[in-house]
Amino acid sequence: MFDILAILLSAIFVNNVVVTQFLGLCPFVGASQRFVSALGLASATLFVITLATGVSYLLDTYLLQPLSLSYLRIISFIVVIALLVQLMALVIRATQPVIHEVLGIYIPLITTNCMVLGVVLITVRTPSSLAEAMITGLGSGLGFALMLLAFAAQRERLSHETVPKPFQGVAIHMVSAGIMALAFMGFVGVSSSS
Amino acid sequence: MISAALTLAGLSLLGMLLLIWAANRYPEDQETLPALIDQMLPQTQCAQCGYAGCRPYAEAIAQGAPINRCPPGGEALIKQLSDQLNRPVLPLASDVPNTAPKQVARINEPACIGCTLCIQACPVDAIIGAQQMTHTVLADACTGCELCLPPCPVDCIDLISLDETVGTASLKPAPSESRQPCIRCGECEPHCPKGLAPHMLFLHRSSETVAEDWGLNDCIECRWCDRVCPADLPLTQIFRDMKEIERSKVTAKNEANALLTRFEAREKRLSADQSRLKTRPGPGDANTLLTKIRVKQS
Repeated sequence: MFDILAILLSAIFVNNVVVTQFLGLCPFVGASQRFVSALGLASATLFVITLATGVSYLLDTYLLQPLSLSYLRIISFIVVIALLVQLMALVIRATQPVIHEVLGIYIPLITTNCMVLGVVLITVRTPSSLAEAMITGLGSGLGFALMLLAFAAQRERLSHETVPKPFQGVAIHMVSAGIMALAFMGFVGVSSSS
Repeated sequence: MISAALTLAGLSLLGMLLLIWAANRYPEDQETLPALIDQMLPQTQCAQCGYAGCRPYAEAIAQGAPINRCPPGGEALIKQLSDQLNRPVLPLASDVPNTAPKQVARINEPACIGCTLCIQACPVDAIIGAQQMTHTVLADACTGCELCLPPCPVDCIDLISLDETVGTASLKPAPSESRQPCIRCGECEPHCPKGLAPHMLFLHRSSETVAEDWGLNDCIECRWCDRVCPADLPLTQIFRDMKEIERSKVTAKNEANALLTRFEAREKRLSADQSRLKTRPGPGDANTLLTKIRVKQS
């Protein structure tokens, strides 16, 4: 139980994908204009990343490693991620047409989101169990969701404020993202193994 | 080498089968998005956008048509559509007539010859009258779409612009920050007798969902927050304006629903007329009837 919590917290805060590992920056900046669409993308990514780590772990442990085909990791994981994303896109298009319209271009982009592939590759490289792999995936997804939603909320607030002219637009967003990343540096050194 | 090829091929095949199953299980819904857009449109059925009515335009928007072709909806509608569909806000297209402020048709009754042509043209059945009788416009139901003007043979229909006080008030931009801005000190919150958070209401004053999120409509305009605000913001006046905007949104929604009901009733009536016409005997039927009678007689 403690292990699970440690893995989860470490993935969310200490090794946060966005501000510590600098993965998944394109949706972090691109899809955070509105809180609602950020919420949609965050939950889609969370779903994909959790399932992708689980499926990829099984694939790696029971197929690729026994056949000593570890060099196929990247290409087969990409197939798995693309498959999951396509499934997501189909389900969202049929059940949530407004979210599909808003997130239209971002859902297929999860396929090429460096964060998903990065987390999957890192997870399968360290020896663990299926549950641990999936919890790491879940934690990374939650960490991404946390950052994306926090940034989206911040941008919505910023849109109500009067920003000095030199800082308007991208500049103020860069500054606020940087400050958020600085805050997360406070977690550096908090060990996940203790 | 063989095992690698087999693994990849098997993986892809499995994925393909899964996707085919999912595509059958979740067919693309053509219905929902146009219906949602249709609900946002003002339902005047005026066809000024170049489409046959609100529903066809909603379907066209869902397919990617520009969102700035609806004059009755105006800038408020363009903003709403751009928010919902994540498309950029555009000014109203230059090739559609600009009908703001709201107008209604009025028939110059002494000149009317009772030809019923305008009655047939009205998309929401807002003109009443009969053959050889003076027609008149139901001002409450008229959308000011101008569709009755071209068919009138004696040019007896005029458009009268309505002096709309609520509409202009609602289009007023958010109160400008000429004073010291709110620093969210929270001084106002403990003083509100209704337990609202005036500083949050002020912060989210241009949000679409401010009424639900922060209980705007519970404000009783007691001016306590005005009195305690260290920045001296005219909070009550701002909330009053916000409430007026909310109210006009609700009115617009109700009006659109009423118009849609009228439009649908008209469509139903027209299709019923059409089906009755089809069953009426034509000249060919008369001949067969005659031959039948002749056969009987002989």
